[in-house]
Amino acid sequence: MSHTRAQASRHVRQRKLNTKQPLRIFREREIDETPDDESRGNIPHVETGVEKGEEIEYHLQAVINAANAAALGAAAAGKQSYIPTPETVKAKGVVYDDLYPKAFATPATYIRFSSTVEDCIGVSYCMNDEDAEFLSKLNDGKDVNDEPRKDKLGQCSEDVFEEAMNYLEETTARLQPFAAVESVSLPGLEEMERAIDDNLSADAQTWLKPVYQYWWSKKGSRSLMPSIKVRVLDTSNDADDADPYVCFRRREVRQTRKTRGRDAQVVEKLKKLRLELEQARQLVQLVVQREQLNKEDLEISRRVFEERKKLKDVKIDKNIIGEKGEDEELLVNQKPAPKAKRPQEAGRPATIRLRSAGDRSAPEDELTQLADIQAQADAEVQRTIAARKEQHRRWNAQWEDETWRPLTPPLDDNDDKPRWAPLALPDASYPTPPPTLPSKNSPDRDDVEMQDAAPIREEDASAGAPQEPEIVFHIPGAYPQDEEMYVEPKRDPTPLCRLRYGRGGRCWLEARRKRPYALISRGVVSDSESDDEEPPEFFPIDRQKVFDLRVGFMTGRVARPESMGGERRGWSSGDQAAVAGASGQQQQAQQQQTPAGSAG
Amino acid sequence: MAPRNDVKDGEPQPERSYATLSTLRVGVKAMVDKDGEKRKAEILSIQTRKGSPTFYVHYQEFNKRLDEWVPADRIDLSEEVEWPLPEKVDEKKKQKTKEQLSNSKAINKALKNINRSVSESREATPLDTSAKTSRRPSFQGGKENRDPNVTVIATEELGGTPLPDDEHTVDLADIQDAAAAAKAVPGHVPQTREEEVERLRFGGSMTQNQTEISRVRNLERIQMGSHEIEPWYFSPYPAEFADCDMVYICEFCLCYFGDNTQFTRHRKKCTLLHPPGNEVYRDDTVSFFEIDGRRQRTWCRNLCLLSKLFLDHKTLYYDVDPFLFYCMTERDEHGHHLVGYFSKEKECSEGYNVACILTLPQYQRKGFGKLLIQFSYELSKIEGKLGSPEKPLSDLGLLGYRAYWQEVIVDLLIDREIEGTPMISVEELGSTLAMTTNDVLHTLQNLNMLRYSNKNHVIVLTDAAVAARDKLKEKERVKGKRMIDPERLQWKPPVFSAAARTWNW
Ligand SMILES: [Zn+2]
Repeated sequence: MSHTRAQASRHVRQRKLNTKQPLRIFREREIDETPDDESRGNIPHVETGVEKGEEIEYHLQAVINAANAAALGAAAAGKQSYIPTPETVKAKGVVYDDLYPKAFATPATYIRFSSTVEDCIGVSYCMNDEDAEFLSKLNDGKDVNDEPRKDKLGQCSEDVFEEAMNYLEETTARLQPFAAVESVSLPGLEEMERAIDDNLSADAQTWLKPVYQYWWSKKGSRSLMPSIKVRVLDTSNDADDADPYVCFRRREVRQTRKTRGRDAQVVEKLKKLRLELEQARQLVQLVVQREQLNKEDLEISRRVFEERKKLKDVKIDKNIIGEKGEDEELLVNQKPAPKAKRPQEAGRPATIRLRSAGDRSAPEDELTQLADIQAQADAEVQRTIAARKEQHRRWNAQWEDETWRPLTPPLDDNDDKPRWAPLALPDASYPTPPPTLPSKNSPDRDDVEMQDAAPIREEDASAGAPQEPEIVFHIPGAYPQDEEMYVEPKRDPTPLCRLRYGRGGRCWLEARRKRPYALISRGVVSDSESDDEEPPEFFPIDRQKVFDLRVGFMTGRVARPESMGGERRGWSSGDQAAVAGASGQQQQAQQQQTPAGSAG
Repeated sequence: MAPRNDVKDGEPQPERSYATLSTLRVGVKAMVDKDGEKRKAEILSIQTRKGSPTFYVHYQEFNKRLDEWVPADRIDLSEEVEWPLPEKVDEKKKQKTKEQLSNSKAINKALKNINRSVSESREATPLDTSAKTSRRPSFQGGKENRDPNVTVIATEELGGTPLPDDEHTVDLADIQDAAAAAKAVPGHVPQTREEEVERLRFGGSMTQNQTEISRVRNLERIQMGSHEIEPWYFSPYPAEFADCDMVYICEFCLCYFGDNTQFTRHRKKCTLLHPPGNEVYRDDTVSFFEIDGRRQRTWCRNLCLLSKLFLDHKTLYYDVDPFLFYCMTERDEHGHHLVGYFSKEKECSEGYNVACILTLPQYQRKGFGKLLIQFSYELSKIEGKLGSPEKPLSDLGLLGYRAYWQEVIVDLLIDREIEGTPMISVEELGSTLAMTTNDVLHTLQNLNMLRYSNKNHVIVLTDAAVAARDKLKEKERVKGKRMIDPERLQWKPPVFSAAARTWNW
């Protein structure tokens, strides 16, 4: 007690006792007692460490006084005083050897043991006299109501009975954890049977029904085996606190200060742990592989042996005498010709290199990260798309798509380019307003090449911190294929027209009107043309482009053919998700297609 | 030596008058015949057994372990009795009540208050002063034998914390009234203990009655191995056991049964033959096993329930996880019989090397206690720490420790004398014996060995101390000496990770 310490040290300080200073040891006769010695006749009061209320107890005081008297040199008190305690006697009627058989042999070394009580006591339910009575009745062929048993189960052992009872008790406790505080009806037999798992022996399962009937008749709200009151949950309610039977509460968890450093430490530890688990897993996997190979090897050896045996039988049967040494080969495995060892291998025995403790590289270097997996998945998607494209290309290799066959032959290079000429401006009202896209270098073209169609502000594109992967959305233009040849007209508000000669000498008047560009917003392509009231115009389109276009629609991404030059269009980041989603759907559709395609 | 019921000035005097058998109630103090002597005793509980009232009494100035059920004819009604003060609980009874109940609501409220007050200004709350005079209970690392009562007693003395007190006072009054009412209407008298316990357990107003429950020993008798033992104190074994004449405890797994058939069945299945841990010491007579409370929760809980029967100041309020249990056994061909144990905090901020220590009653007075104590100091020596048992000590604990300290200190001093270097400092005594300086001083002063001669402090090997040692040596020569041989101790201080500490073991 702090009190003790304070008092003792105060006392010591008064006399300036230095606890570090060696003190001379004397016998009593060697020192002359001076009466004015302050300690003489005045044994300093020492705190005993016993509670005040108990310290004054009669028996303790008697012993202490006797000891004090002795310390002061008084003649030894006649009888030894002691503290009386309630009696302890030899148990009556206990045949100790039966109860505790002589089963222990002391091992030579110190015992090391880690099994728990639960491991060592078997089924925790123990039958009482009442249970024993029922069990003998059961084994006489009667059920709990003294009716003859209908089943043909034979005899139920005590162990099986206890196991079944234990199962019923434990299952009830599990299914109805609050049965003690609220009245609930006991689980039915069916419910009990449903809950059966592998832990219940087959015997106990077969006896569950008759035992259940008995158990049901006996079961109250509490456990049949008395148990101490332990609160599993951290409920600190007053009723519990006041209940002297509630014990072994969980201690409150020590608060740990959360710091960045601590968090980082935890993360490092988790990473390391994961790495180690990963290594262990790999090792096990390699072991499995090795053992499978071993097994295969053995099987092959056996087959070889059997085949040889057959050959031998045949030889014997047919009385074939082989050349000298030939027969031996059938019996003995020939040593394979020694392989020329590769120089590198010779010097280095095959070892599995494990990360040593001193290895300072960060654990994440060796661990797969989520980003890696995502990159891998992306690459896989791209590969698949490429493969599919290739596949489609192959399917279509010998075919010509007549439906997409250009009605107009591609222009000859040497053809004179038809010139666009202004057309009289009609009334300035259009079904949709003319585009006002800010892009400066946008080719002002009439086709659906949507290079600048998306309303992207350049500031945005540059402001978005990481460069989003570019997704090229390319709907091939009508003609001409070769953009170099195409002379970009000036942006002109007035509609243009030109005369062009098509296949078979047909003459076309092509109009070029101001139409809104196809807009892309949130990944949805809206082509103003489709809304156009005028009949759609058809333009010849190259087959390659048709293909690309289709793929593009299917996947949401279109790889721009090399010939199309470097024009690409970045998407605003928000659009990606929508595209990804669309591409997912498309992929599914494609997958459904594929089997049919490959079958055909 | 002041008698316990010395009345302080200004305190209300209890009312005294003659009582009849039917007016006796809980809280009354009467003279009761104890071993042919009249002794003042307080009635803690009343029951009717076989039609006649029986009283559970606590004798003043006797340890609680001598509390017992007495028939009416042992109560001397020819003398005046002291009536309890129901409205205003008098100090001594309050104190006594507090000492005796183990986990009352009041205590826990007080504990909570203290916990709360930690954040408040220390001097502001009266509770806080209590924290100075007694140890503040820690909800975190808590001592195994830390009894919440300690704090409350101190709180009481300060006259602070009216809240728990008031409630408690009311509760006591309730019991008394209820008891009186029960007396008056015979039909309401609980017929058996079972009934009473049942009533207490499931009745509407629980608080007061639970206090009563823990003041009364709940187990009648236990059978353990080849012994039958009378418990000393209340222990929170299943409440159903209060109705059993005998509780059977398996000597090896310490599991408990209220029914002999069940126990016999258990013995058929139980395969444990020694405490479930590692043997760390073995000599010709005894072995020590180290058991981790976290790894062997059931066994350690069983051990605590058992030892609570014999340790008043132990509390089972919290679980066993933060403790290691060093269990001493005697070997034979049946197995390792548990003789005693001490528990030790895995990480004790106050430097205690023992939390609870107990020699089972059937092995007491055979010198085993000294072995347990010695063993605890041998562990401290290996740890390189100075150890001391956690307070409060029980009466038997104090005597055991004093005897051990006296023996080892006197031995060491005589050794020095024989070596011809009769000089030693208090701290050297402590470090050699792994004892705290305070305990060394305590022992030297208590034995009147620390004296002042020729303006110098000296240590005197008193004739009495030398005589006691000679007597002991003679006894050992005849009967053989039991002591721990440090050479046979195979032990390294267990190391616990920071994570274990964080997650509370
Ligand atoms: Zn057992």
